[in-house]
Order: sequence, then structure tokens, then C-alpha cells
Amino acid sequence: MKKAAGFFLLAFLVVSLSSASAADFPQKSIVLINPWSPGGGTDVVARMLAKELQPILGVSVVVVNKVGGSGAVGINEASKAAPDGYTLFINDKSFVSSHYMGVTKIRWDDMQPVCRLDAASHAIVIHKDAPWKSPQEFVADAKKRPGKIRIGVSGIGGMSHLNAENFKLASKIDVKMVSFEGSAQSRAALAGKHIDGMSAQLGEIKSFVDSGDFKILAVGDEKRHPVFPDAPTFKESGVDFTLNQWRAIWAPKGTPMEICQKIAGAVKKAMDTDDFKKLMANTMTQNLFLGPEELTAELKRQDQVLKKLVEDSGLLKK
Amino acid sequence: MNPLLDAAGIIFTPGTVFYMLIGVAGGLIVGAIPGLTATMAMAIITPLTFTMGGNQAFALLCAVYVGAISGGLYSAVLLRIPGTSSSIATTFDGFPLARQGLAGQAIGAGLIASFIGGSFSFICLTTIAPLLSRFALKFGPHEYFAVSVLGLSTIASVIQTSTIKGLIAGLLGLIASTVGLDRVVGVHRFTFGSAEFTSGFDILAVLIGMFAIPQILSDVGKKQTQLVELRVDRIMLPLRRIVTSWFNFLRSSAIGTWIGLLPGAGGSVASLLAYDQARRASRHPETFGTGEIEGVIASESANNGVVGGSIIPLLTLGIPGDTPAAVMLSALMIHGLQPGPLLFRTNPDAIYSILLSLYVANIFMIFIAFFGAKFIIRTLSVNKSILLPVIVVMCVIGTFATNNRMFDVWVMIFSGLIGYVMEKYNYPVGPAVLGLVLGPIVETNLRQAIQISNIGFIEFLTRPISGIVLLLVALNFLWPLIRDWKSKRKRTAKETGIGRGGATMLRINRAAGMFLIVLSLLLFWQSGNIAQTSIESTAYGPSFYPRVLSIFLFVLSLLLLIFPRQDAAPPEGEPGPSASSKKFWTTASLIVAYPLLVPGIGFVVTTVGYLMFSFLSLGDRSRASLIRYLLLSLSTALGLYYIFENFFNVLLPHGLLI
Repeated sequence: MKKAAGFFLLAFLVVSLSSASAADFPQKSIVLINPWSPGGGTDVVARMLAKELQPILGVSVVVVNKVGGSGAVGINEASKAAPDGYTLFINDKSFVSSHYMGVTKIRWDDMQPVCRLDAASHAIVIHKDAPWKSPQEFVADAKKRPGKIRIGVSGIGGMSHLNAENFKLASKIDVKMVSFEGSAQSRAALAGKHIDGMSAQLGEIKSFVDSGDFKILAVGDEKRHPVFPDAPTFKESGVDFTLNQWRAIWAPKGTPMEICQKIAGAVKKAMDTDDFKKLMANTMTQNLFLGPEELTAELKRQDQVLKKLVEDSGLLKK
Repeated sequence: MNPLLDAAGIIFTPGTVFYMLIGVAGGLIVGAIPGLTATMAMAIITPLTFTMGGNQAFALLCAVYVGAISGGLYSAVLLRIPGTSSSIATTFDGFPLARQGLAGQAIGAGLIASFIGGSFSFICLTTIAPLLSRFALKFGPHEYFAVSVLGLSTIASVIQTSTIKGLIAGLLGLIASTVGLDRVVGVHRFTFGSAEFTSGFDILAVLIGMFAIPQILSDVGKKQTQLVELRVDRIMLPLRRIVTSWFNFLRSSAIGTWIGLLPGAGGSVASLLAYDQARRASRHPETFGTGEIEGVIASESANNGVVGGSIIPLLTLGIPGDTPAAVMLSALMIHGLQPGPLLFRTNPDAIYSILLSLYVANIFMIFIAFFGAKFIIRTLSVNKSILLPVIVVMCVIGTFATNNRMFDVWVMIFSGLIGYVMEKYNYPVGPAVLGLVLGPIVETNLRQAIQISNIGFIEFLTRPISGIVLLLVALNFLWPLIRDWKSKRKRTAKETGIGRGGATMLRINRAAGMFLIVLSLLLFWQSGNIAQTSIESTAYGPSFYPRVLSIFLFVLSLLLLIFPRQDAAPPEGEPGPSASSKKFWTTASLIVAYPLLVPGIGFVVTTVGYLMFSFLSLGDRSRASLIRYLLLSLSTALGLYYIFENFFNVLLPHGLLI
């Protein structure tokens, strides 16, 4: 009898504690689901964000890695969570494209976009001993021996892969993609000259470019990057495309807009802190904050762009 | 200013020393508890380090890393449950030693080996790190493939019973590793449309399941009330022994450091290779697996060698050698450092603090571990009716905490049941788990190597490193064949006789053979349904590997069918399970019901329920005990809940209740 009464009391307490209204959000810890592995680029940003959000929101923000299936597992878990603002989801542009590649049945608009975080520029990088001195030389060589040059990408369906596909299409060349499980393996392979080039975010290879081990073939931005003024852009080298990578936060569908706005506001402040700015400088990303409505509009545009890219690359899953 | 002195100034402050002591102790405990890993411990600690200065934070992380890897020794030796996959090889000889009442020697040897292995790798880190890492870069996918196949080939040599059954077990592990999203191109393989299956079977879940559950189920049936002998001999290894084994220590540490250096190879490969090498170098290889101290020494030196080894590429190239090092990488970045080729120049103080912390943590480890050993053994010497259910709870919560989902817990239980059936019919679980661990490494590198190569398969032999390693693999397979052929005349009736289980076993072996043949055909057929992508050539795409495996399985099961006399006579003195089978079935049903009910009812309540039922079914039913059991259940469940939710930030399932 006593045991039963105890259980009911416990149950009552739990149930009563879990209801909350938007006005006094947040009241307990927030979970931030990261579908990528611990130690990776997104993970570092997530953890830094969590650290900076704590004092701003007054509750602890916990990063939980739910890795697997090129993001599918994390996407699945996050979309099923309760839409009360206590579960959030961090992911990058590949959330849009991976649906078209068959990685997940869930679309980016099956969840509520909250805010955009940082953006990273992409580049194709080669080893310092490589024979090509410019993107034009590379393209010419690739045309002479199709299917022989090897470009490493970190993860099929990710932005590094799509970036490389974009390059292939825009320059009309045939190069071999070699897919690695993460940028670290790809880096190691290039450093050991097992592949000829890799598609990467600038932050991932900065230290190797600084030390002289790697050379940037070209960057995928509109203009030359301030930190690497000697690296040409693809556009100016006659290959017409730009591509970058950015990360954003989503919430389960149905999360009240008030709560989303509150979270977005807190994130904006978190990204303005000194430590976060230092991290962005270190990893060579820029603050591209957008609130929920602007982000949704931007995602709609990306949907079109990325769907077409996936289709043109022959990777569309019906 | 001398950066080494600077680093010493930071490390040897009371605050940092205190943190390091806590870190090592905490790491040891985490490593000792089945289900909790070094990576988990470090990922949890990382946010706590945000408020500390960079160097202090790294010191703490190093301490936890060293502690956790060393801690896996305890549960491996005392419970036959490896703390991490790096301790699998330690169970082969550590556990038999414990059952012979020599747990102290095993633990003493293991700790000394851990210390030496760690120190060796740290010395390499200090002196020749840049050199080693440049050489390690020469390892591309061809070389990784060769090394992992070498790892696979050693599985064949650690099999104690029937070689065919051991190989089948290994093959099943390899096949299981293909379930999920293909790692190279991301297509679904054998996922049956379920999102949960897309990440495959978590290695830790299967490891814990296959080692812990069968052990628990068979221990339940045994008459002895205590699993761990309280009367343990001194925790020491005689100095004489240390000296005579010096080459084993050295060789195993070197293997550990080297494998740790190769990103993605992992501690399990290192300890396995070291174990195998020790066995080959020994004058009496047949003692390995029955309680040979050299085996424990080899495995533990190697897995601690991995610690330093994995940090080398992290510090020189910014490429982590294994998952705990990956967590260190993110910690380094969060604290504003840029790991890469220039780190030695831009932040020498960070490098030196990490180095110094590793040495200091290693020394702390050996002291704390020795003094703590008696305490741990005493804790584990409680009545098994209490110990076993609590271990199950730890396994459940630990497995859940890896990825924060119940699916892994179900995989664990399911693997456990399969493992029990396997062991009952003489299929060793070790090779199965090792197959699961090595499978992805073998396949991914094979396909990447094929993608990279412009000259075809011959490149595996034309590249010097991979060529040499593959030659070693060939020798590995030939050596036991030659050895067996030489001793053909000496073969006793023991090996060709009916052996354990008699005629029943023959029938079962034949049945198993037929079942496996059908399975292999099914597998071959289903592999055809795997989607292709345009990225890889269809010949060596995602369906290539499962097909090859199914062919091997077909051949081996055919052999099993043709030669069902596989099992040697049982070793003397091994008591069969004198099951009071009611206890067995109750335990088994409780173990299965527990994780099934957690999501619906909630962790705390289900755990209390599980513990109460288990204690009562295994122990006595007196009034006094009832109250004791209730207190224990409540405190365990609530204590774990509090610690995991608040310190480890693991959100346990809340069902209808809590």
C-alpha cells in the first residue's frame, strides 16, 4: 500500500513539473540534439553554443549526440520530440539535401526552423607537391585523363560531397570521388598523398595550409577570402558556381513561435560573446544569424538549389 | 622561458593536482563499470572544463583518459566483462586466473602492464612524435585494410575450441557489421525500413551483451554464492616475473603505440595483435586462454600504449587516433587552440602540459589503482544474488548512455541471448564481437582502396607496406596449418572423439550446419537487393562485401555439416551449470522484461521493480532481507538516476511514471 501511494505521489510530482508556458520558458534543461559525432565541426559549435547559452537562458543546455546513418538517426529522434522548446536540433544544409538523396524520409520543413548560426566557406584543396598551379590547369588535366584524379569527400550527401559534385558539373570534368567517414580521415589521406585533392571547409584545413602542406586550388565564394587572398575563386577561374555550408537550429514541428523567438534571441546573444567569436575566428566561420521567418525563407531557396544539384549529379532517390 | 618549466608550474598546483587525482579515480571507476567508456567520461567532463584554464582542462582530460583505459582491467578480470573493447583480450586469460584464485596476480600484472604501456607511448610522444606521425601518414586505405585483415587473422589463432565454429562466429560478427547505412556511399543495407537500424549495431551494446549476459545467466545456475573470491592473493606481480617478461612488455607497448597512431584502428586491434604475438613468442602457447599471465600483460600494455599513440597524430597533425582523442580535439578547439602541424610551434605550452599530465596521470593511476583494487574486489565479493542484478542494471544504463536510446539496450539484451546460445553450443563470443569491430574497418578501407587505385587489385601487393602486412597475414594462416600437420601423428583421441555433449552435439552441429547454409544463401540473395549508386563501380559497391561473406559462410557451414565432430572433450574440473533452472528462467525473463518496460514505465520505477524481483528470486525471502532489498533497490535506482541526469547529462527515459 505504502509503495503504491509513494508511486502515485512521485507520478503526480513528475506530471505537474513538466508543464510549462511560453512566458516562463525555460524552466528546466534544454537538450540540443546533434546528429554528428563528438569532436566534429558541428559538435564543437554545438558545445560552444551550449556553454554560452547557459548564463543567458538561466538553464543548462545539454548537447546529446545521436549519431548514425549520415544524420538520419538524429533527424528521426529530433522530429519525434515534444514541441515544448526543451528539445532542439542542430544540423547543417545537408538536412535539406539528404532527403533528396534518400538518407531520410523527413524533410527540413517537417521541423520548425528556429535560427541560423554560422557559415563556412568551402574549397578544393590539393597537396603542396601536386602538379597543378591553378584551377584551369587542374581542369585541363582532368579532361585529359577522365576518371583518374581522386577527390576525397567527407561523407556522402554532405556539403563536402555536393560541393565536389558541383565542381564536377560546372567544369564538365570526370573525377573520382573517394568517400571518407569524416574530414579528419580525408585530411590524413591527402596528407599521405593517397588522394589528389579534397573538398573541405576552410576551417578544417587551415592549419595545413598555414604549414604549407596543402594548397588551396580554389574557394567556392563570390569573392576571394580575406584570410587566403592568394586563393582564386572558382568563379574567376571560369568554373561558375558558389557553394558554402551553414548550420542552423530547428525545433520539433508545433513548437510555439514565442518560444522559438525567445531561443533565437538567446542564440544571437550567445554568438556575440567573445569566446564564441574567438571560436568562429579559429574555425574560420562567419556569423550569419537569421531568425525563424528569414531562415524559413532562405531554406525554401536552398531547397530548390540543392534539389537541382542532387538531380543533376544523378543522386536523386525517387 | 623554458616551456617545460612553465607547464610544470601549471600542473603542479594544488588545484590541478586535485583535479587530476579525481580524474584518474573517476576514470578508473568509469572504466571498471561495464557499459561506461572512456569516450563517454571525457565527453561528460568537457563542459565542466569550460570554466578552467586550458592547460588545467587538458590535464583533467588526460587523467580521465588514462584512468578509464586502465579501469577496464578490473571487470575484465573479475567478471569477464570487458570495460571497453580494448579489454576483450584481457578476459581470455585474466578471467581464468581469477577463477583459479589468482585475481590479485592478474590485476597486479595488468596494472603494471598498463603503466609500462602508457609510459612507453608517452616517451614516444615526447621524443619521436613528428617522425612517427609522418610515417603514419604513409598508411592509406590499402595499408589499413592489410592491418585490419591481420587483426582478423589473429582471431583464428585465439580460438580455443573448434576452429570451424570459431571462424563461423567471427563471420557472423562480420556479417552483423554490414547492417545499417553503408559507410562508404550511404545506402541502406538490411535495415528493413527502420530508422533505428540505419546506424547498425552499436559495438558496445553487443560487446556488453555477449560477454555479460551469458556469464550472468550461467553464474545464476552455479552453486557458489560468491563470484569473486574474497580471499584474494596479494595484488602484486613478483619483480622476478616483471624482469623475465620484459620483452613482452616492450613488444606489446610498441604494438599498442603503433596501432594507436593509426587513426581508426582502435584499442581492440592493438590488444588483440599484442596478445597474439605474445602467444606466438611463448614457449608454451597452449597455456594461453587457460590463465597465462603473459596474455594479460600483452593485452594491457597494448591498450594503454594506444593512449599515447592516439594523441601523437592529434598533437602533430590535428587528426585524432581514436574516439577519446577526438573528444580531446574538440576540447582543444573550444579552448581556442588550433590542432594541426603548427601546434608545436604556436602553443608549445599546451603540448608540454598535455605531455606532463599524461606522465603524472599514469603515476597517479598506478597508485590509486593498486590501493583501490582491494576495495573494488571487496565490493564485488558481495553475495551474487545482489551483485548480478546490479550488474545488469549498470549494463542497461551504461548501454543507454552511449547514444541515449533504448534501441541499444535491446540490441544488448538480444546479443546476450544469442551469446548464451552460442556459448552453450561451443561457439566462442570473442571472435563474434571482434568480427563486428573489425568488419567496418576492413570493408571501408577495401572499398576506398579500390576507389583510389588506378591500377587495380595488384596495388595491394605493389605498395610496400600493405604488401608486407598481407604477407604476414598469409603466414598467420599457414603457421597453424603447418603446426597441425607436424603434430598430426601426435593427435590424440581427444580431438577426434565424440567429446562434450556426445551424440546430441553431433545432431546439433549438423542442424546448425544446415541452418547456416540456408542463412548464407538468404544473405547472398538479399545482397542483390542492395541499391547501387553512381559513385562506385557496381562490381565493388555495397553488395560486394556481404556477398563475399555469404560465400565464406556457405563454405564453413558446409564443412560443419561434413565434419560434425568438432568439439574436444571438456577441460577437467569445469562444473557444468547445476542449474536450479527455475532461477535461470526467472533471471532470463526478468532481464528481457526490464528494458522492454523501461520506456513505458520510466527508468526509476522499472529498475526498482526489476531489482526487487531479482533479489527476491535469487536470494532469501525473510522479512529482514525484504527491507534490505527495498532499501538497496531504491537507493541504487534513485542514485543512478540522480548521477546520470545531473552529472552525466544523460536524460533517462521517463515513461508514464518516472
